[in-house]
Amino acid sequence: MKYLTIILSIIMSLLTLSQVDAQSDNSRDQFEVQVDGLGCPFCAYGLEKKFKEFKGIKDIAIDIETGDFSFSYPAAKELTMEAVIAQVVKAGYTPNEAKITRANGNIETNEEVKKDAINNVTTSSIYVNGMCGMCKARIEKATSSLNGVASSVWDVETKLLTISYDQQLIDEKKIEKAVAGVGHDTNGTRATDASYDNLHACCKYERAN
Amino acid sequence: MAAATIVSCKEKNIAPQEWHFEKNIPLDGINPIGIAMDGNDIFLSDGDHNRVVKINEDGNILSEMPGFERPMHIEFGEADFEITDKVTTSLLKERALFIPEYGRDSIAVMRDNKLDYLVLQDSLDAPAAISVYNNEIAIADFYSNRILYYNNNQWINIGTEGKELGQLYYPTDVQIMENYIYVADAYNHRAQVFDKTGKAIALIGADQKINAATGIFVSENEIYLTDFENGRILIFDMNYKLKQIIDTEIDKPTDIFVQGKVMYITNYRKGQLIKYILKDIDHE
Repeated sequence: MKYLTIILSIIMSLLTLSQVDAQSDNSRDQFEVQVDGLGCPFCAYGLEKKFKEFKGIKDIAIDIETGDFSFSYPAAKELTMEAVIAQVVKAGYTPNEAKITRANGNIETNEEVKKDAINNVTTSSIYVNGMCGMCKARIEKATSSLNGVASSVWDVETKLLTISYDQQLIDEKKIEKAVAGVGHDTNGTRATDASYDNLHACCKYERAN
Repeated sequence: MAAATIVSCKEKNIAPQEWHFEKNIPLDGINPIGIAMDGNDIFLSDGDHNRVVKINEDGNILSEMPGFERPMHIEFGEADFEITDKVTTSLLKERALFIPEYGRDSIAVMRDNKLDYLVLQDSLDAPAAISVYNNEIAIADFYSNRILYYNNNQWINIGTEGKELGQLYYPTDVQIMENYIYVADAYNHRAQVFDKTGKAIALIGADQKINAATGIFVSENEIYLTDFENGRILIFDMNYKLKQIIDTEIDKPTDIFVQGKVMYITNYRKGQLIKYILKDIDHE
């Protein structure tokens, strides 16, 4: 009888523990951020280090190849999308898509607004200064998300952005302005020093005077 | 691409030599960042797995030291430094393995399975490398954009954030030699040389289109620099002139170690150790 009591106690303890685990899983929000600029382990570990300033962070995973960064955080602390994005920028990197799956099942994203339908497509080549694959991702993201743009591809070697767009909805000047807005100079539009300075160290191309 | 080294002496001419690819050593489950050697024993910091491992020539793990937080460029050294086990403080007076912990802002000191930490008067922000030379010590302090250098008398800061001569942008490796301190100025895409007062002496490789100079090794006659994104090692003479570029089987290199006529390169992402051999240049 004594042994049976002990075994039951163990089983009950295990059940209690598994319930606690389940509760802890249910009480954490899941965060997924696609980060631009994670070129090397020093960068990836740096991002991790800066996010550890959020006390209670767990399950951190970073894929340097894809820039996929994920972690979990206590739901009770109500960590916002804005705070996450700000922390990525503080660490020196550029956040792209971000998604929060709240413990209650709600999903939040930083998705942009839907675009108008494109009718007549024009294709142009625009010189855009940059350095590497990370620049490519940034330039293409900044331009392909513009209303009126059908496609955009930047070549690392030639530094030419081949972009197809609807002239009724957007023009080259606006495209160049969007590119400059993320830190990349074009022949017609120079990025501000502040946006250039915000580029990841690996992406700091040589600027024309 | 390769420029031969020509060394002469009074008695005889020494044949010019260059580095040749020897073999690719796969490392199962290791993503090496730093390499250090103790005799013929090879030690690797495995940043992704928070450990330091000792391996054999075939890449097999002989022993493992777990529990570090993102260990980076490691180094063996011997000097009189104050260390602490977090309870008592003592003076290190023996050869030890120094392990910068990027995620813990500390320098671990390992010998005979005993773990201590270097006592520092200043706080670090992501130490990426350490160099120990006689009683001097230099730490590449990544986020502070500086080298923290102890000259056997006092600690000084070398470098400030920036792109000019004497300025650093995310330094990731450092090595002290007899007269100078050599820095892998990673995201200025070059190496930089300082004297021991902290005065900048020279830039190395600034015209070589390097993309992330993450690791540096300095031997008696050469300076070796990794080009992480382009998968190359650039080899310079002591006048900072390019001698040779090697790239066979090199992919995302983070560190180099040269011992005699053997060079090891850590391929971080693929988990490989690449071996090169110094050979005489063939004359037909």
